[in-house]
Parts: sequence; C-alpha cells; structure tokens
Amino acid sequence: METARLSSWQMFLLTLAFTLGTSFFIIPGGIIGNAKEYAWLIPLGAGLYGIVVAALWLYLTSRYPGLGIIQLCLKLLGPKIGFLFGCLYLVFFIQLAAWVVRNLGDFIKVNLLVHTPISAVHLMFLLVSAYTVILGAETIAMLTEFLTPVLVIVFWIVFFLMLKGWDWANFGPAQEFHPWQLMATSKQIFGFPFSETVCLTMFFPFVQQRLKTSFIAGIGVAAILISLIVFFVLGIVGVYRSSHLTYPIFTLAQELPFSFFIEHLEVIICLVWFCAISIKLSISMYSAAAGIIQLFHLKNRTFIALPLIWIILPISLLFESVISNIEWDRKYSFAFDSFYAIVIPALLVIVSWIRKKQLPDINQA
Amino acid sequence: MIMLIAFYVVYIVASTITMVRSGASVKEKTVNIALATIGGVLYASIILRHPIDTNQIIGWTIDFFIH
Repeated sequence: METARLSSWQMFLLTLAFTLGTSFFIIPGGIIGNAKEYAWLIPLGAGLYGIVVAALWLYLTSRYPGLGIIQLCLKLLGPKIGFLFGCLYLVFFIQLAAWVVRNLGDFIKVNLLVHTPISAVHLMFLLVSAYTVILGAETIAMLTEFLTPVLVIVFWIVFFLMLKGWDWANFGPAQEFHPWQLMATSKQIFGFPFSETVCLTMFFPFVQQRLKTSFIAGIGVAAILISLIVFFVLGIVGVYRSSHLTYPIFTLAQELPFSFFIEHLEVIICLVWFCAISIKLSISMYSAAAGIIQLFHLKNRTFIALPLIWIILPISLLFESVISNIEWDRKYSFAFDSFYAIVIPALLVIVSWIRKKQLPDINQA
Repeated sequence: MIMLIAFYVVYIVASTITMVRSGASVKEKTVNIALATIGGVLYASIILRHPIDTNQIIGWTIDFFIH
C-alpha cells in the first residue's frame, strides 16, 4: 500500500484538472447543439449534480477513513462479491483511460498529424502516463500542482484575446426555456465528466486535511469554468456554427486574427489541452493500477502500469471515428457512469448501515 | 499480426527477466503476464477484424437492462 501525502490544494487541483481534462475541449459543441443559447446553464446544473454525487462518496469514505472505493468494496461486500465489484471498477478505470487517450488521438489525427497512425500517438502518451503512474500519487499531484495554474492562466489569457470577436447577436433569437427538457437532452455531461470523478476516490486516503472542501470546490470551480467557456464560445462563434464543430475552441483560435504580430494561438490551446489530458490519463491509469494492487495484494506498481498499456491501447482503437465516439457518449455515457458513481456507492452505503446495525445486536447477544 | 506477436514475446521475455532480477513475487509475475495477454488478445482481435468491442458490450448491457 502506497503511503503518499497530498495537501488539500493538490487535491483541489487534481479534481479541477481531472474534471476539465478532456471536457472543456469536447463538450461545448455537443451541448450547444442540444441546448442552443442556454447551453452555458447545463454545466452549472451538471456541476451541482456532481457535487451531490461527490457528497455520497465523501460520506461513504468518511465512515471508513483511509480506504479507497475498491478497498471499500472488499471490506463491505466481502472478499468474493467485493472482488467482483472491484473488478467492475477496474473495467471502468481502464475504459476511462482508453476514452481519454482516444479523444486525444482523434484530435491529433484530424488536425495535426494526419498521416501518423493513431496507435503511435496513443502509445506515446500512454508511455509517459505509465511512467508517471510508476512514480506514484505524489508525483501526479506535484505535476498537477505545477501545471494546472499555469495552464488555466495561459488558457484564459488566450481566451480573453478571442473576445475581440464577441457579438451578442450570436446568441440568436431567444427560444422557450424548458430547463428539465434541456437537462434531459444533454444528460451525457452528467456522466462525462462529473460522474467520472469517482476515479479520484482512489486518492482520498492520501489527503491529509480538508478533503471534502477541496474535492467539492474542485468540481464546483470546474463546472463554473466549463460554463464560462461555453458562454464565450456562444458569444464569439454563435449557436449555429459552434453546434456543428467538434472542437469549437480550436477552430476559434485558428480563425481569429489577434493582432498584426500574434498569430496561431491555437498551438497554445493545443498544448494546454495535451497537458490537461496527460493529467487525466495519468489519474485514470493510476486508479486502475492502484485498484489491481489492492485487489491482488501486490507491492510493485511498475509491472502493473506497463502491461496496462497493452490493454488500454487496443480498447482505445475500438471506436471507428470521432462521430461514433460522440454517438456512444450521447447514448450510454450517463447510464454507464451513473452505475459506478451512484448505484455501487449507494449499495455500499446501505451495506455499511446494515453492518452497523448488526454489530450492536451481535454485541448485545 | 507477426509484429504484434513479436512485440508480445519481447515484452513477456523482457519483463519476466527484469522481474526475476528484481525479486518480484510469483503473483506479480502472473498478473503482469495475464494483463499483457488480455491486451494481446484484444489487439489480435482488432488485427483479425473481429474486434472484442468493449464499447459495444457495454452498450448491449445497458440496452438489455434499461431499454
């Protein structure tokens, strides 16, 4: 068992970087397509949902301090059923890592390295992330602590430069506002990225103080930032065009002339995204590796992280195109993520209540 | 396919030698080989154009239980 120590600031940044990771680049186009000029409200609603779900995990882990979600499965459900549920979480972490790397591969293949095989791009990022996983949770936290503030500041400077193209007319004529219907049509954002933060429960045992505040603040700030990004994309690109773009922020940075000497700021946006994705990939790979170590009672992470590449790489190649990826996400993401974020943790909470009730009875007998 | 098999064999041999030298337990060696083999099978299924599509399996499972 690793004995890492994370500060609340590091946990906050881990949560922020993980939640923003792939989502700030991919989500805007999809939710603008669904919710039009009200799209910026969707991340706020989803963030609120993410906080409520996070409260469930925090409640569960506060009852058993020092245990991650897989250890909780083993402790509360017993070695056999707990092992089965632990394996389900492993599948989730591995799938998540594969999707993260695929999002990156699709973007690079379409926009940057058109003739390079997508598997080569995936392998490069997986190798770097595997090395981070081998070094441990503290290294991932320190990397995040070093990179995230810089990335956020750089991204927003570039984004504010883009505000030159702002036009209120881009919001178009106001449509009728049906909040529940809008939430229902954009339900995938409740799964990706807000329910995916269940991954970070694997880091909970390492946080020394103010875990609840840092984790919930991370989700809340991420929701506000995604909402702001969507709002700015709406104001600059417009409802119609941004709903037809896969990566509206990239297109925006490509097209807007900033001044007579500052050009091609999309490169900076790309770098920010690559770093954010590397952090998210490292966190999901670490969760998978830590899960395997806990399930099989192993010690060395090196020989878990490296063969994980063998599994993540082929899974990341399964989607035919970026379109099938988006389609799958729209149809199944919410249900799939909710199973791991709500169903299993709720089951664990119920079992913990039953066990607590049974214990006094046994003591009395 | 030949490249994949070659990579797989090289990985298994190299990792086993390294693990033996570093005094890894039998369980660690088994997990390492098992994970690499699962990955190898997944990759082979893609190369042979009969992919074991985990995304599709998840989709079917959700459809079965929900829709």
